Amino acid sequence: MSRNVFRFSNRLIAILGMLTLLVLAVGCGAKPKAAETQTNNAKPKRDKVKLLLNWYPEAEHGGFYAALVHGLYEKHGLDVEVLPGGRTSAVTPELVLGRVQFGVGNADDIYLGRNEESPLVALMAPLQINPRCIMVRKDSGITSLAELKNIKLEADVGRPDIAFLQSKGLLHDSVQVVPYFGSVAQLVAGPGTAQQAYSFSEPFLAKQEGVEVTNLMLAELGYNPYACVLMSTDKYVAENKDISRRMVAACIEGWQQYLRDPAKTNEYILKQNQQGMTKEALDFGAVAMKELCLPAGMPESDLGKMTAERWSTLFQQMVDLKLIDPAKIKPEQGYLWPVK
Amino acid sequence: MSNTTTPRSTTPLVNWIGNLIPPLLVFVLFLAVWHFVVSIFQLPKAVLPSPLQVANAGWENRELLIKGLWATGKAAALGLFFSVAIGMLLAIVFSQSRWLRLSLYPYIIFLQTVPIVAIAPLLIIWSGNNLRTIVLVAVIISVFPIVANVTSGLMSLDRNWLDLFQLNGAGRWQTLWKLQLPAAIRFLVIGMRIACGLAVIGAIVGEFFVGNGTAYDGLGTLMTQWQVRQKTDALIAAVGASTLLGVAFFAGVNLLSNTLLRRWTRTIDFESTG
Repeated sequence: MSRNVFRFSNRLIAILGMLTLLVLAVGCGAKPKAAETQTNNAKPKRDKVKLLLNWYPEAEHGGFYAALVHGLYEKHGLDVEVLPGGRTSAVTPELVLGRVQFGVGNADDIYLGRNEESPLVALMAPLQINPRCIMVRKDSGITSLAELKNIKLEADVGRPDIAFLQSKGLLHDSVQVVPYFGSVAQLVAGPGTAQQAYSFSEPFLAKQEGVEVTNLMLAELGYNPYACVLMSTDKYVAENKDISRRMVAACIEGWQQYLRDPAKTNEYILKQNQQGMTKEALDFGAVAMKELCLPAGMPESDLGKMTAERWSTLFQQMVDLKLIDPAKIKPEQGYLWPVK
Repeated sequence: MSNTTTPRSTTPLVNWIGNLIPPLLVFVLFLAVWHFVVSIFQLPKAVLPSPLQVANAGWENRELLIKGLWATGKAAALGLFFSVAIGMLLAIVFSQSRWLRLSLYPYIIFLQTVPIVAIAPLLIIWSGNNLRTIVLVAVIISVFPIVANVTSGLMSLDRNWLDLFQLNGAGRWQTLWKLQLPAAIRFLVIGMRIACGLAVIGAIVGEFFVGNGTAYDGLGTLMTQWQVRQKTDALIAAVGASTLLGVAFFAGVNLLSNTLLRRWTRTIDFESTG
């Protein structure tokens, strides 16, 4: 009997040992690598950080790439690795695990994340106007969001902007919301399909396919979260104030550079994007980006600026949509402007 | 258990409970390891929530999850039904003609290997954003084990039985109906055990792509929605629910095998049926 128990416990130890190894493997991967950024064996002492994009490299990431291409990160003593995103990029987990120090996301992602205990914080917002729109074909005859009827709408179903449209009573039962795969094929195939789009990107691709489209901007309806914001985590920014400040400065200069002259950057983005991006689409996007980043006479020096009003408006909208719980988070937790 | 010289003398209920204990222990151990991994390494909720947080999220979203289970279960059941129907029909055709088998079987293997994720958008263009497309995906994924198993069931006959049938001048249909099909039922059950899990997976993958409109909220749709909203705990709860659905399907197949099909399947000696 006792021998049996002994044998059993032996095996148990072996199993526990293996589990421990597994746990260590997981755990080690999870450790924040903040310390790494502080090491300074490189001669010109540049701080290594990683920036993870939220989508395949496109014009909406232009400024972040411009800072790289034009050496602006370097100028601010940073060695930035820009990691392209994609359909499966998980910016929030990578940030909270500390595997990347900075990420790109939309303002509403930050509140969604904070609501689920991910302490995300926005540091600068290149796009003042959210480019999100519903794109319909001209020949559908639809000219406003209120006219969306008897149509199939391809969109990311869980996204706050869809919830916002629904709350405005705009997506009637005759609008069938279906998942979006990142292709304009269905819209090109027939006028019975509408899709989510970024005003500077997909409409151009549709035009290239010979289809005239109308963009119905969500921002005009009042849902206008800052887009493509530079974000990090509370912890990283608190422990790396100086790096964060320099990162913000470099990104702002990068965006100013991109709006002035995107040619060299677009060339680089085109090389990074293997998803069917074209030079024409990028050039179009870079021009369209000007209105979104610096709307209505906003001076170039204000690029990236964020205001408390904008954030609290978004916060209230998301509370009203029951997407976030005001008992858990506060509006001012979502952003830091300027980083002090 | 000192008095058990023959384990089979215990009552079925005791047997059943005895069979239930080992997997339950594994489950408890699994939850414990999960819990300690999360707490020791303080893993962020976005990366891996604790089992308690997942249970909590599941409870908070119970209505959605139950509706999702129903919707996905319906689609998966339809998928499995058509898989069995189509699969058996194909298997019968294959068993009747070597020529047909040789020329068509490779394409059935193609069904097994087709990257469903890549063709799902195409299926939607052809068939639309509706339940039919979801069922179609489930069938494409789950039909192969039925065809493969039933075909081998129909083909692998006892030579002596076949001789007996031939000696008595049995025709092709008589042989099929009285000898081959009864012999293939056991293989059908084995195929269905594999296919039922695949049908559930197929239904969920189908839902990822087909979506919900405003009326249809399957588990797959819930998963995509919760992923966008960064609700990892609810997402894992939905994964748990889909696992339950798979287990329920598996139990259903076993039940079918032990009741309606008992006549033909009792010779199968599975551990789970005692």
